[in-house]
Amino acid sequence: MPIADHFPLTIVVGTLFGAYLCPVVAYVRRRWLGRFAAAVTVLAFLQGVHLMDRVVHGEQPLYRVGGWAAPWGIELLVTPSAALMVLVLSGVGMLIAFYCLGYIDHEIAPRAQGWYYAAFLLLLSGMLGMSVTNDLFNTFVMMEITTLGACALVAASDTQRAAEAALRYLLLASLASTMILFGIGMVYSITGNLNLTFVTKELALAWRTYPRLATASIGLLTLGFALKAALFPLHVWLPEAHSAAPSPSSAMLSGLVVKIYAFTLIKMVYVVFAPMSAHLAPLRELLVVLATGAIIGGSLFAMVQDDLKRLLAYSTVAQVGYIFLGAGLGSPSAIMAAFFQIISHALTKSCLFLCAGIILERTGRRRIRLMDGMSKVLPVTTAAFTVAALSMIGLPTLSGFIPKWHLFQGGLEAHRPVFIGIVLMSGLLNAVYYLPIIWRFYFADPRTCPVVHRAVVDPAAWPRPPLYRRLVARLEAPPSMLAPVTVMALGLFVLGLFTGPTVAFLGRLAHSLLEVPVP
Amino acid sequence: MVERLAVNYPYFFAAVLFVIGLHTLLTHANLLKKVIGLNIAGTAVFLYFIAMGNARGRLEPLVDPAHPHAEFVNPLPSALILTGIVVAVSVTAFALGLIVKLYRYYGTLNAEEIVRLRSVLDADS
Repeated sequence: MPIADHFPLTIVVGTLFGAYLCPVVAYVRRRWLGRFAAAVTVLAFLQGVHLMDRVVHGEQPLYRVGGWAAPWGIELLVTPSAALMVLVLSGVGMLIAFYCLGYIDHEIAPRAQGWYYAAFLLLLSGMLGMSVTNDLFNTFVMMEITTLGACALVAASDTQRAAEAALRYLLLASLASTMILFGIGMVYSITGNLNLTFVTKELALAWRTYPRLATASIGLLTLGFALKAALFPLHVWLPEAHSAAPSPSSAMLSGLVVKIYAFTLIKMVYVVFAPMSAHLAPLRELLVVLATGAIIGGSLFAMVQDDLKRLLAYSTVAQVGYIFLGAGLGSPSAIMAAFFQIISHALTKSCLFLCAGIILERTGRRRIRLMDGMSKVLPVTTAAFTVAALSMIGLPTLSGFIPKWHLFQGGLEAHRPVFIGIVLMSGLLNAVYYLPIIWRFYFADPRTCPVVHRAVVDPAAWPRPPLYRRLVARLEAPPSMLAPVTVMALGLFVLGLFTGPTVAFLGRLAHSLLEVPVP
Repeated sequence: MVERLAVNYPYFFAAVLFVIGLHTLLTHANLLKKVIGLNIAGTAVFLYFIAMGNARGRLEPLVDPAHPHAEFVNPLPSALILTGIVVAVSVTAFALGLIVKLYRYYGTLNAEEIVRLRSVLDADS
């Protein structure tokens, strides 16, 4: 068996072992720690690219762990949607790991860095495992790894706020896990299988015998995943957790972690419970209603925030709403919009949080009203932030526009044009809280911002670069921090301008997920 | 209805325990009690799994050459719950660690008190 056949397993287990090695590397050579973690994520990304390549060429890689065949062993199945998730997770995870190289010393104490990277890679491997696994109980185990890793990343910031937010996040996420495990137990007692392929087949035969148990199980699964994905009004833990965490953790949590739960819920509703899909119409209706609440409510909360990271966290609540809106409408275009939103928001929100991290680290500013004239001292960072914010508003040519466009089509396909209005309105609401920030960056008088003002009036006050590294040190931040945000901002243009291949791939994905023929 | 309850009483108790755990977690202000509530809810799910694998009158799943056609209980749910217990222990340990940290900061275990102290601190800064 060529080594590439093992990639569905090694992408998960390799990252997991990388996590275990981090404290050891920190003990032996702390200087190598960041590079080691980045190397592990690069390996994961390369394997992700390979898997995606195979999926694009029509394959569906299947891996039997330990060689045990389906109902007995654990299967890893790289469906098109799983390959997409793997590529997004490993790609954005890799960029954040590179960002950590330059950033980590500013928020994490040296002795804790080994454990921080360990939690970082644990989280990544848990999410990768959740996307490729084809087994219900394995999903639960990987989900717990993800949850613990995510909470550890919040608690890593050694402040009162972070400890409090991490505890609240941990309690609610574990409650959600318990509900999901209950749901999994019910599915097992109906079908006698944990392998998703077999569960689907058995459900088709058995769900009419146990309609109440089947309904209870999908209800518990939905509730659990919605709580973890912060679907409005179950988002109460999110703003504190995402804003109190160190900035790379925020990028990870907001960009990736909420998506993996949304993705798993879509997988449950549209693949595993597909046999009873006619019965699930009220559930999809509920998702649509809550998603609408999220899109409007999240934006309204975001408007009144003064702390930049809290504003971004509330914006996540609103943006997750699009994913659930697409999932709830359930027409091919809407599902496509949901997946495009997963990619687009992963890049956009990570970019915004990483930019907020650079601003925080360079100037110590969290409050928006103290960020006047920031573009004069941090031109690249503010430019990347502006691009990402405009994408969030949904400006054409940027990737944030595409999911909105397909949601319009999805609303028409589902014969519910009211959602065109809701999506348009939410774009305006986004503009209401993102444009003032951009205006402050570029056009406000920097004299109200002492840090910026000093740097502009008296360049000597700004830390002078050492002469021998003039070119690199003249930059506003180390290249390891600027490069990821620049790549993300450029990625938004690429996704927004060259939509052909992505849309074609997502179209096939949505049609195969809904089992309707590709037009 | 009563008959079905009498036969399937473990499932009934699992549901009751789950609700008790949920209630404890969501309504008590004491952080330790919240963790206890989480564990009660978890135990309810474990009970559900174990009851599901059990079948009255069947043997433990050890293959005995003397009785090649003996019927066994399903060992898989018990094996799964072993993993579930490990997960619950690690979540509890992590939560207790965070609670110790919070107690050092605030000197109280009461969640409402902590929120009050936080707002006072925020107003000062």
